[in-house]
Amino acid sequence: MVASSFNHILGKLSLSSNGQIGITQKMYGIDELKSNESSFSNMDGADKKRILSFLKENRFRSDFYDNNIALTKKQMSAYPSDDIMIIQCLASIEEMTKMKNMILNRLREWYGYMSPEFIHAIGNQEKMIELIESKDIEVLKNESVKKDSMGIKFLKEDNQSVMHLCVLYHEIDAAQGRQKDALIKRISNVMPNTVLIATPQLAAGLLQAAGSLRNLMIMPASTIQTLGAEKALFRHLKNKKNKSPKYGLLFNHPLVQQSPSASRGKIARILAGKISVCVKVDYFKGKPIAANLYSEIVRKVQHDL
Amino acid sequence: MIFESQLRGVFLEKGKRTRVYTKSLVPRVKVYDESLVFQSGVEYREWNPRKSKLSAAILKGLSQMGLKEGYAVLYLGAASGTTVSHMADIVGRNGIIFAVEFSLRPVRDLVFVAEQRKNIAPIFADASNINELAARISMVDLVYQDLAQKNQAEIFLNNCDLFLKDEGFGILCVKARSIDVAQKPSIIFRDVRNKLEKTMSIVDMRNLDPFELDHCMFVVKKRVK
Repeated sequence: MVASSFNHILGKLSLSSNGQIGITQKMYGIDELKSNESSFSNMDGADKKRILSFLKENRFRSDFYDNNIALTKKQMSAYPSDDIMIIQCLASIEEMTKMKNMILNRLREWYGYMSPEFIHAIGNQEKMIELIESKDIEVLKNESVKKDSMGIKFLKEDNQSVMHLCVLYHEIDAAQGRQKDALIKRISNVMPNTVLIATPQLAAGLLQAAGSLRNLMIMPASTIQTLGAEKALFRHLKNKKNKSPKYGLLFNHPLVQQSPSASRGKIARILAGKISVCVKVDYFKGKPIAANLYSEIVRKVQHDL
Repeated sequence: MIFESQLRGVFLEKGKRTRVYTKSLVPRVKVYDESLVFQSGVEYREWNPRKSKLSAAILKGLSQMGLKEGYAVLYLGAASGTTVSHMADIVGRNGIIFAVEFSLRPVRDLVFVAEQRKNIAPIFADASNINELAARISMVDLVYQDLAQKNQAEIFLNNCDLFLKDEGFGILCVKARSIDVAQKPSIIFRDVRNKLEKTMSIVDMRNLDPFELDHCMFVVKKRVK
């Protein structure tokens, strides 16, 4: 038995040459626990088991509980959160689009009881809300009184209720605009290279699909290429007779959109490759390489067409 | 009528649908949205088989669990603490569950569960990093693993090798789709079984259908060398 000591959640654990196990109470941080110098892993297998069995006793359990909870809480609060904030921001923006659409549909239904002809005629949602807001109560009264209109008479309060919705719509729209600006600012800071090649919106989408920057960094380019096309991907993997997807979220990239259908797959593949390099550089906060990579992409794309 | 099953700490109620319960360690407090039921002055928490694979296995006739009051358990893949909370009910105040989870969001919920049930020690660590885990836990009576990883069998065996006492039980949830997306689950389960049998004795194997598709649970016992 070799005398040794190592860092443990219960404190400094020491093993003397005659087999005595001692604990000096100490609170270690996560880095100290992981430190290589005084490491559990260097010990003899039999010694490891002896110590682990020793610690199984009831008297240590309360400390195991207290110290582990305290350390886990510290780990939580120290967790790097840039990518988390970006993903939450993007989720919020997407939700606000749904909110806006809900309000527009409700307006269509509600206002349609007063001016069905108007609602039936107008297709564009933005135009509709603009016109609803611009008509005052007198004009509305006149409209619904037209010869064979199917409109029901609205009271002043009914009209006010509809206007409340219009106000709400604009508030959400403005908030969404601010969130979009904040998102672009944040992601350009966190993933400067990726944003140059993939555009901020797409980069955020890729980050959301991957779940975290670390996950995105680990992915091979082929996974990045098909992020967002999981249905098609797994259909293909289960039965090779089904074609593999050429692009997922990457379909929305300007270079893919602008190119002829026949070349889109190739361009998506080229982009995915360069994006995967950028993500790795951004994760490790490396040098700006996006400009060089972009000129390589342009060269490859022109060569193919 | 709620009665204790042949598995200690696990209670059943027969009826149109058999229900599983554990005795609530912290009465009147819900962990997820489980039902709380009173009988003869004792509060029971309903154990939902759709939310918890262990409950599903019990309903599929699990014969042995290797879990007893006062035991130390290593739980790999604790998530938000749904199944952990029921295990905590079973091991009781003198037991301890080392609940290991690697994903940030569920650990937050796990800490809240642990603050209520003082026999759960939440650990934010990677289950495949044995040395890092060794600095935070002790030897255990049971290793329970529910991880969606390709190398889940290897992680399980490594953890059992170091942390599981001799003749201790191990429970491994196998998610076939995490190992291979396209392969037949029965073949994947057979491969896992072969890997386990090298160092463990197979005690039971339950297919969790219809509660979970393409999932099974192995109960093993660590052979003394």
